[in-house]
Amino acid sequence: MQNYSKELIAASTIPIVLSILKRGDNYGYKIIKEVQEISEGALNWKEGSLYPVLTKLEKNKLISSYIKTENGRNRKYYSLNDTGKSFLVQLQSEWQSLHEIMQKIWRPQNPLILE
Amino acid sequence: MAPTKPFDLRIEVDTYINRLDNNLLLNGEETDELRDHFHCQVEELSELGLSEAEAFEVSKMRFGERQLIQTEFHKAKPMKMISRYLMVGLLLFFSVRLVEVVISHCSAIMFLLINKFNVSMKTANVVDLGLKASLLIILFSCIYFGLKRGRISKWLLWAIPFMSILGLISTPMLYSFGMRHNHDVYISIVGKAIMNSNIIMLISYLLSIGLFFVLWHRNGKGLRLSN
Repeated sequence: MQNYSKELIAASTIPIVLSILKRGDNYGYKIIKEVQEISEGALNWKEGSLYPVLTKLEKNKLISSYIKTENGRNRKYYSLNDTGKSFLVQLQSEWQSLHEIMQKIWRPQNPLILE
Repeated sequence: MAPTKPFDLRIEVDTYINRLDNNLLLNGEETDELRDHFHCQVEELSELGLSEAEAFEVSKMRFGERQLIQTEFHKAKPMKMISRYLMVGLLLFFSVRLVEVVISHCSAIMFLLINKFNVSMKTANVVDLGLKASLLIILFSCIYFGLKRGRISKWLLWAIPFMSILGLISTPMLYSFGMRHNHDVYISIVGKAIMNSNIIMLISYLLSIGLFFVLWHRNGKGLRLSN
């Protein structure tokens, strides 16, 4: 199984969380489970580290929250708002562009064409 | 053999969250969220055949290192951290002022002993020093045991500044009380009282520094307040 560096995991957390919330409102534990499922267990977060990220995103008004009582417990749901959606578009473009650069760099070099 | 305490998931989760939030950064919604996280995971792991206690141990491991999560919460809420440090700083400042004021007021006893009970200056001096030292021991014992239990009452946040300001206002009354005496005797008594106070204040500052370092290492840099 692929092991990702701590730095890469940290850098990708915000785009991943925002992308999960783009699919629909969700709560902390379920977000972790979805990420594990999508990455087939490769992206194994330290689960507690998600909550400060959610707090930060909410503070920066990229997501909003509401409380729902389920199974006799208060559950905090998050939803992506318009600012969050625009921010995610920006992040997607950045990651896409970075990915393309990496692909170009790593592509085997073409032999020199002599005119 | 002592009976083993049955595992109570609710209590265990609450204790874990309280330890995690020893700087009181989290609000009610956030603690509910963490509570829900642990309950969800324990339910899921229990379905796989683990006992609640085992499932909770696994959940804690998966949750991550406590100090790391605390640091992440601190980063997410920088203003709250600053206000908390400011509050603790003000509390310490007023506490030291209160110690100074109480010690000054103790000096009045010296005047009473000499003037009303005709006690010798030497005996009054010993009584004054003993009284101030006892006061210091009581005060530091209260603080030490309060912090050792991990809790300081919120009412202290109001009581300490209030009492220290009240004490500062009433201090001049103490000196006007002394001025009624023979000037030379007054100066002599005040000199002894001030010297005793300085000794006690020096010990008090040294104890404060020692206490701060002990608690800093023991309590993970946190000061917990109760209702």
